[in-house]
Amino acid sequence: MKKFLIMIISITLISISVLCLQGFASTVTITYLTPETDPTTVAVDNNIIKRFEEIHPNVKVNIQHANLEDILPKLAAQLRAGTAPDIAFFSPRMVPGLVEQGFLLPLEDLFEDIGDIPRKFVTPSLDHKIYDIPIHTESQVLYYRKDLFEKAGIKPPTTFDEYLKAAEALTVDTDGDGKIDQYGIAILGGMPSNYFFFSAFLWANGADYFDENNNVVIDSPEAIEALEFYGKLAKFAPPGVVNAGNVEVAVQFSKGIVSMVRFPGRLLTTIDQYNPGLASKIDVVTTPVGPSGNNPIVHACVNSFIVFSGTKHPEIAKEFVKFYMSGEQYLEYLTASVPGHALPIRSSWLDNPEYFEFPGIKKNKDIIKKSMELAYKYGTDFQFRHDTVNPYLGEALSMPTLSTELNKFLAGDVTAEQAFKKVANTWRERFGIK
Amino acid sequence: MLQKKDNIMGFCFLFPALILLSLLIIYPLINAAYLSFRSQLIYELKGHFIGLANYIETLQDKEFWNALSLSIIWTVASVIAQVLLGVSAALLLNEDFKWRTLARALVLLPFFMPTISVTLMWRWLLNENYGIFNYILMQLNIINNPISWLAESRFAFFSLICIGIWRFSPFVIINILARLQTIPLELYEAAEIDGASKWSQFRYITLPEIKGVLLVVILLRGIFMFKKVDMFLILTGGGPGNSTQTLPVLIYKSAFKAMRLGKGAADAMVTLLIITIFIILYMRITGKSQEEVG
Repeated sequence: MKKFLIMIISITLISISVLCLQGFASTVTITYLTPETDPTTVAVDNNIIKRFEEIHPNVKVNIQHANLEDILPKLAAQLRAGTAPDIAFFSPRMVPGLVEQGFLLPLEDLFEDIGDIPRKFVTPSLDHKIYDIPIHTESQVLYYRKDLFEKAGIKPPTTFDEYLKAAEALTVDTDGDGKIDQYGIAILGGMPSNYFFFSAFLWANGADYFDENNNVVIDSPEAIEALEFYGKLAKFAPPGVVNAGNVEVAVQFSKGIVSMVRFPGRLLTTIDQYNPGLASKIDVVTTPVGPSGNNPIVHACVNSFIVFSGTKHPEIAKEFVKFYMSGEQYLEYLTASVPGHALPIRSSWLDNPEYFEFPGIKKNKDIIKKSMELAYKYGTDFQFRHDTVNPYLGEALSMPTLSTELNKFLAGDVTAEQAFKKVANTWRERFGIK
Repeated sequence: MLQKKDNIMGFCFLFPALILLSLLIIYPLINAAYLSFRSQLIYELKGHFIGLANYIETLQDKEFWNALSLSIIWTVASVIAQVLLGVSAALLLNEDFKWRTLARALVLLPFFMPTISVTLMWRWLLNENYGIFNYILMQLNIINNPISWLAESRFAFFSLICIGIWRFSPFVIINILARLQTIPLELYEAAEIDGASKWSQFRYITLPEIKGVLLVVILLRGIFMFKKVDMFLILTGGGPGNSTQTLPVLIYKSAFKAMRLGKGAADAMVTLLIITIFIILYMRITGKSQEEVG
């Protein structure tokens, strides 16, 4: 009897201890979905997660990856299955659609907490709440060869007319063999990214895809004029415009085949890889203004953090975002993978010495600083064109019609008017709008 | 009684495979059919029923008919070329010569290389600025200026067909070669004794012997080529314009780029119907010819 009682008490005490330990050791797990799959960025994310987990021992962060073009289908499947992540790194163009479906958590408190992100980079919403936290901006400026411009006796272009003349003047046969070996400009005409590359030309000519009342205006005379100009410019680009992607245009500029290219800061890494000596011969300006435009334009592409409303740990998810965007974490994110491409969006970082003294940034400091300043001053992106929310934008830009028609135009299969009339009619019919 | 027990046993063995088949093929097929009657964006949890609207849109869509014609041309042209090249190569590789083993390995290599490696390799080979193809052609004075093989409408589709032939002919070679090696040599010896020419031997011995395999290979190649999408997406994205936008590419773009799952599903259902009709007709024709031979 005595032995039996001792055994019962021992088992009870052990069980209580185990249960207590389990309680203390209970781990909260959050999931972070990102399209950043290059090895250096993956390493950065893993470092940041490790540091976050060290500070929050009861928290585990699982990271999931998806190709940039596959992230929406993956997310859609997860939402349907009820296995959506807690946090995602996302294009803000799709934010209104997700907000409409009730998938996103409002983040005003987090936005206030971070404190120095310009409100103009936050995606507008119908209820005027904040549903995404911008992480960085990519400044798509016009890179040009200072040396070639000086040699040709021309200044960097500020208008479409000057742009075309510069492209023509810089398309030359340099070795006298009768074949062009230096071209004026690189143009990205390949699908599906061609519309992204073209958009700044549209905006620089005072045109747009939708107006402030969400009417389709892509077939306006100004838009057609912008596309016609684009076609003229493409004549001074190397052969294969119709199939040229990001890699091709970056390599063309880096290897000195072209004298100008509109590109984000990633170009500096390509130059470093192919032709380091070129870095001292380049400078940047805004996209030149079209005859129907008023202001210089920089396509300041923004990427954001979003937190899903289905998260079981909203405070921890927000804490992770805040952690990611501060101190050494933010510095590591901005500098480790492609220095000069993802630019700080926090205004307190515009003159951050730690950022500009980082070796990868320091060697191109002037260009990067100028790109940042231009993005802040003239930057615009699809979702910021008007103060209104456009519920059609994400789907409209995702539809293949726009990139296909641009591609057909560059291939010479359709005129600019035919291309944009087709796009406009397709969108009007699809969304049932004017 | 014993037969019933055998039947039950057989079913039990098949059951796991049937479950897998149901999950991976039957359920998605039923789901796609369901989606084809709905309007649903990719990030919506539920769409809404719209009846036949997606099908009507598909049948009225010029892009769909253009894609269908391209798919048919792509399938017919590449399968015919693969069969002609594959049978010829199999006949050659069936002969006894030095380095035959090495030749067989090299000829079969394109089929076993990963698709992504192969397509990226071709993308650079055919590049107008850096590609070796243009370099060689210009060195031989066959062309004066580089050709945009993948960026000009008149060349892009032709280039894709050639790449498809290069990549998938080995499938034909493997199957035909395997059959050739089972043909009794005595048949050829007897034919030689009777004075039959090489062509007569091919026509009256080889061809009938490989006919069964050939018909299956043609069917399989036809199905596989019709639904090919990865090569097109990587090499041209369906461009320039829509000059290489075949049906599978259109379906992919409808569902995952335009984010319209319902429309993509309707495009896929119509494609399934077309392929099914083709298979039925093919089986009937080949079944009749098999009976005639019998």
